[in-house]
Amino acid sequence: MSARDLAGSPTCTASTGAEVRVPSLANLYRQEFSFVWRTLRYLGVPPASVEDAAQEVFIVAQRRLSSFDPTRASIRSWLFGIARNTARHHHRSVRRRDPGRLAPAEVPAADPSSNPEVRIAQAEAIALVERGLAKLSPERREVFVLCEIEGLSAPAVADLLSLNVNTVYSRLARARSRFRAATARHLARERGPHG
Amino acid sequence: MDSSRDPLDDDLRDLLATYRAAVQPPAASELRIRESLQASVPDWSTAPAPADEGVLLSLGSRGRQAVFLLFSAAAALALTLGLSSYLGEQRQRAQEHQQSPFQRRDAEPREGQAHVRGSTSAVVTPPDPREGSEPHATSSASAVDEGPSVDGRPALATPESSEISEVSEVSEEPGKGGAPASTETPARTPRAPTQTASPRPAREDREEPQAGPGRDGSDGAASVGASVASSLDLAEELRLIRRAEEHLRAGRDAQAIEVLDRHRRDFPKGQLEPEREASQVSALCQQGREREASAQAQVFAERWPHSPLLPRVRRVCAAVATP
Repeated sequence: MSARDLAGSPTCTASTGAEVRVPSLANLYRQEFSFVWRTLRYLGVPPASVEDAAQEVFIVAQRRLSSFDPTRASIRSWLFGIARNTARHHHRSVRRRDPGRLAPAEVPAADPSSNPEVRIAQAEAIALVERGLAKLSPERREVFVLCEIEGLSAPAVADLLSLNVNTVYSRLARARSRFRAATARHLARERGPHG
Repeated sequence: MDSSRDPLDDDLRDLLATYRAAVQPPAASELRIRESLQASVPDWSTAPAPADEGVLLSLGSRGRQAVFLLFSAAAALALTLGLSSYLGEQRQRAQEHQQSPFQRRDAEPREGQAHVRGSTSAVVTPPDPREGSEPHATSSASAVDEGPSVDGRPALATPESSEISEVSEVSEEPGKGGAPASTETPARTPRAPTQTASPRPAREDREEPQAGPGRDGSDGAASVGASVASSLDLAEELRLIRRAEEHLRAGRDAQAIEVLDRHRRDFPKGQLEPEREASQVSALCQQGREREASAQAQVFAERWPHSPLLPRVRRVCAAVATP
């Protein structure tokens, strides 16, 4: 699948960016919008709120862009920090404002015109993966999604999250086994009766 | 990749790849946010020159220290003023309380006033974004805004340390949106960032049936918990719909209808309601109940006019109607 190829792409390794210049918001948006969107999803922002949260991330980014120092962090790492805070804030404010309003899980995936079987498979993947992710602590979840879903290398993740590489490895190992356990039963059941 | 130690097996990797593809942003959302940002950010496509906040960075440590001292002095002054007015208010209230101990109700609105007046520097109550921009919030907001950027070097600090300031920025945004730089406030009012997710034309037809409050006991759980619960439901729904589809493909119409009925009973307003109704139409057709099928197809077309399933539903009925 092409998504998997994408996942293995080495976009992340550029994150040492010592002589990177500060981009305009337009460029930042063009390059990182998808990453921000997905990150918000990974961190548990409900589908119905992702659009608002993504907009918030870029509004905050815009206000702070002039003080961003490319010699101290990569732009992606910086954005990830903003997205993480926005995600947290979103959890709190959703809870505070109207706790009754549940976010419906997203059945129609990104492309509403895709065929129903693909959509069902995607909906299933969303349900299953998010259930597994919810079993991980926030720290492990971050490492896990960046390595396993975004396809970043452990050193790149260490750079992104300002962590020691060994910490990344150990969190990743624990997250993998937890995630495996959380999804194993379901996958086994699915494989069992028909093929 | 560092999958050298204990890597995930192929099934899981495929699953994660599918998931990644499924959570890509919809083009419509990308466009909406871009337009709204373009409208509200004047220097959208110019790289920021190290200007206002940048000056602080280029000051060097001694300069920064001076600015910090200046700001802390100002903050202390503001705090003292706020405190003294607060104390004054308190004293006044105490007097009033002594005068009329039984008129508690009268004193209550004052309490609110005292709170606002006493909190000039500390507490900024986030304006409700649905009210639109509140000009009075901007003055105090900007004061707070400046604080962390002086001593905390916000953007460069680790995200944890800048969390508080970021959060407050987020919640104050509607008030600040066009204030600082753009005197030409955009004609198209930008979407308030925390606006609670109502206009979503692209997915309208899908979300409308389940948009109401929690289907099952949503007693104020955290949204993560909520989305897990709804993921669990979704998984169960999927199981049923898939089984029904398998029965259909194998020609077991009656069993398919049984499973669909079960889905209808367990998830009357489920997230896969359209899928269920589409399968139902197919099942009815296969059973030779054409009239019921085309009636249901009609209902389907009215309820979900933009559904990607609609062509399939129509095809099934057309095939049946013209044997």
